[in-house]
Amino acid sequence: MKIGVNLDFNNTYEIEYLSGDLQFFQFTSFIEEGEELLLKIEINISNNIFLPNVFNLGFGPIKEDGTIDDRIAIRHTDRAKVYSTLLLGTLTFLRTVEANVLVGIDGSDKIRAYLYYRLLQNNYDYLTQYFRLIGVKYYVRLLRGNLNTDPYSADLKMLPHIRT
Amino acid sequence: MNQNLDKKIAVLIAKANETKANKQKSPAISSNLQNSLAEKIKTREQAKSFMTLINAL
Repeated sequence: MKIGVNLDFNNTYEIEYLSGDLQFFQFTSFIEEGEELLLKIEINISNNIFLPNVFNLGFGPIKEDGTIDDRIAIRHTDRAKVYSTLLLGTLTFLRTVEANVLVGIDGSDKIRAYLYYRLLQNNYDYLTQYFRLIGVKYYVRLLRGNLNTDPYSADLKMLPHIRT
Repeated sequence: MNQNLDKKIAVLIAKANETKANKQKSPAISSNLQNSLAEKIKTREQAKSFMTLINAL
């Protein structure tokens, strides 16, 4: 898969629906097979005790039960436009919440995690105009045991409480 | 800061506020809708199609 995606907030799809709290929105993308595909995006609190105020960004097409299918492989005709729209919605959410709120981006598998990592890295200069980007290998850091000196680290005694 | 982006964000926030306002009006609509649906949805298949449609909205 190509990962040379140039994000551009001037090139986004129309967000067709937005919830009142901006944590849920939808837009339609086009896929290479020539069809339209409705994408659902949810920004939910992560519920990880070591990552307070961190929300998780999830997106994908909608399954029959109404949940997001974040494991399906989709060939979007314009991936830059899809990711730019996702981040536009995320930026809008962040503008309306307190300054200590963060949104985490993680892949549903290692390949996706790497893809998003490269996407953020390749667009770092552009994105830092609008976001404060923080890279965290948080489960690795949790194991280091420096609870009092590092907000993303924790004492080993607390590990049983980690929700994965 | 990108002025076009600021405008886009303002439009989206206005849209979210509209959703919030519509939601506050929704109990009456919801009740009417429920009565109407109870008359029209007779089978499990119809209910399933309806839920698929609602989820897609």
